[in-house]
Amino acid sequence: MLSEVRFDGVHKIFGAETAVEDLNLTVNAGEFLVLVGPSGCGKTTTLRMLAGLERPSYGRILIGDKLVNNVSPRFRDVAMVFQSYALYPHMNVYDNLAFGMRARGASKDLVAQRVKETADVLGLGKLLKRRPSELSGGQRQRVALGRALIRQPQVFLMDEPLSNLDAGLRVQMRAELSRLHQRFRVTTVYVTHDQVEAMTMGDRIAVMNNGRLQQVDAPETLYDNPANVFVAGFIGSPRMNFVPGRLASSDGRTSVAFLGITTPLGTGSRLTAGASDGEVTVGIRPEDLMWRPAAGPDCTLTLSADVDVVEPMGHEAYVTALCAGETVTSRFPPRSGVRPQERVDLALNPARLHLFDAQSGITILQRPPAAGAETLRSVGEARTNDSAGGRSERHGQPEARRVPSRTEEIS
Amino acid sequence: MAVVGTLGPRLDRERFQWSSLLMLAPGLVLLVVLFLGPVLYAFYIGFTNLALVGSRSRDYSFTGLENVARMLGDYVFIKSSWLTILFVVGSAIVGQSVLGMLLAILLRNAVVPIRIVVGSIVIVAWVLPEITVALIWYAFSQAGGTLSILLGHGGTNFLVLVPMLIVSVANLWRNVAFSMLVFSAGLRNLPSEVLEAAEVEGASAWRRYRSVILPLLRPTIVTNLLLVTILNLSEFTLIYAMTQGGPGIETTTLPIYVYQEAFVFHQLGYGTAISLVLVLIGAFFSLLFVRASRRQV
Repeated sequence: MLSEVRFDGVHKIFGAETAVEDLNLTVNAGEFLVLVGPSGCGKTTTLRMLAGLERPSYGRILIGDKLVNNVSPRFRDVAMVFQSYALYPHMNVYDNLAFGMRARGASKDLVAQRVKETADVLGLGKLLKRRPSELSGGQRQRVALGRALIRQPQVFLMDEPLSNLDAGLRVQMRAELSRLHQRFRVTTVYVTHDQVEAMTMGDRIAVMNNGRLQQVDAPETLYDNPANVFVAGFIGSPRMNFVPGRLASSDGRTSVAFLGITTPLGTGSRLTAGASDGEVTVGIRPEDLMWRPAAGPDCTLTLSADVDVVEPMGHEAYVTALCAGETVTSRFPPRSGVRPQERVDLALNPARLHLFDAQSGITILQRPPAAGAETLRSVGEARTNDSAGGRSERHGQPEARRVPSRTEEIS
Repeated sequence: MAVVGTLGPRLDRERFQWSSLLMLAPGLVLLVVLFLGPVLYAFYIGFTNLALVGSRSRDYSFTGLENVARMLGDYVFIKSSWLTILFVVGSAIVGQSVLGMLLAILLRNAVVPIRIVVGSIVIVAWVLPEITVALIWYAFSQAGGTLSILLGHGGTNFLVLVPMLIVSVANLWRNVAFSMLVFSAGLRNLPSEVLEAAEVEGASAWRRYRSVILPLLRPTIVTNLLLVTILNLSEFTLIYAMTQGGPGIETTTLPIYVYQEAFVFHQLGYGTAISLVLVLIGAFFSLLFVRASRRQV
């Protein structure tokens, strides 16, 4: 059974600290929603409130159509994978898997059958007799996952389940988790601080910071149209470059000046209602700031910069350079031969610029859809109904979606 | 392996130097003189007819198993051993540990003011001098005391009617704080995520306790049982102050019998022999608990 999850004006206050502030978020039935943000942003608290391990200070939490604020975790029919795995150290794998079903009074035969099925799905068949202390990190992770899967709950909750694995295993488990979700389609809320996990696994990503929801969107939309400076800086690696700029309009044409150059805004771009002439923050993703010799014809702007650091990554190189007094990072092709202290020409496509209000950090530019972008959802106040192609529709409940008004969120 | 031979002696092995013995000697001497010597001497005394006064206090001799034979025929000794086991099992192992666990769990889930008030009261009982506790419970259980009035038997002296029960409860009342503190510490150290996982998985409070908390607390439980047994096995002050072992020999546990034999009847050799039995009982329980602790994670 697929269930939708809804947070309705949820706050959580610990003493004088507000961990979560006015959270309005709907997780569609069958959706894989990733809750991402830096440490202490309130994402784990949000998950724990959904599990019933914390009670919200204000607001309502609904699973399916049921208000669960005062429902004990026992009766919420959710399964949680903890960061520490939280396996029962005194039980073997079989008993760890069976615990939840036994606790709910399942018959012995059913338990045995389901343990076998789950163990087969996760490749734990040969480990059933072992204690957690005799398992490797990856195996423990699988048992923790199995313990959640076996119960066939309404909602999966995962709290940084991959953070204790080494890099190789993490990539492998990431794919495995995605595969499991494709197969079982259980509504999943996945908490992580790793934006790569968020981008690769989420149907949609909810970005949180300082207890507030910043933006909820499909990964590509989030990347192409970040709602504010925080989201723009958090999603994407290396980080987006932010430089001060100035917006000026004359004769109905708007142009922006930054890093010593001035350019009219791209034809597809449209300023939001709140935009006005004056100070702005210009955002440039490192991959949009290219080495002139490697740039395409649409990179009409050229900037001159002094190379500071070159970080070769193998398949590419990150070049940090000083440009008009600002430090910017740019992605170079590998083996460009560029050395520190060298003067280079950087190229930029004006259509790839991001503009943010200098004070509030909120985006003031509606960028055109990037070529090849699978889904696009409007940003800011423009919460339109043209959700055609939106991912959540595949799960059959487009009308249930309630993307919170992000412009309000950020203020 | 060929390389190993050419590298000289290994550097990571533990080394022994004869000169270390010199440095250790003062400690060793103290240990032998003040600890090992007296223990062995006491062991020897247990097999003699040494008396505290009279001719045997000077001319005592090794009597072999005579003291053991005397014990086996000594009705008071057998009754006393039985009372001691009853006291340790009833008051310490069952009473104190179970009640201590119950208090620890209840206080863990209690709201802060209750936790502080109840916790403090329990600990105050523990901090009170044993003599004070003995006086409180003596007065409490006398004819016309609080207990008899509460039970509606104003003229009954419960310390005479059920002496062993009263001293056991008094002892339990005083010492429960110890077990409670040990278990509280154990509970605090349990991995909270494991307990939360059990809760999210749908386990009832009782099931969480039985299937998760109790097995994880096992090392703490064993430690508690070991300490509580050893502490209670030699309990003297409280019982002696309340009953002097009476009425009759109804509360004469082994420590009290040892005291009477050695210092009242001046039979130092026999008294020491009985105290060796006390050591055996302690060793038996300890072994039991240590073995139980091995069967775990």
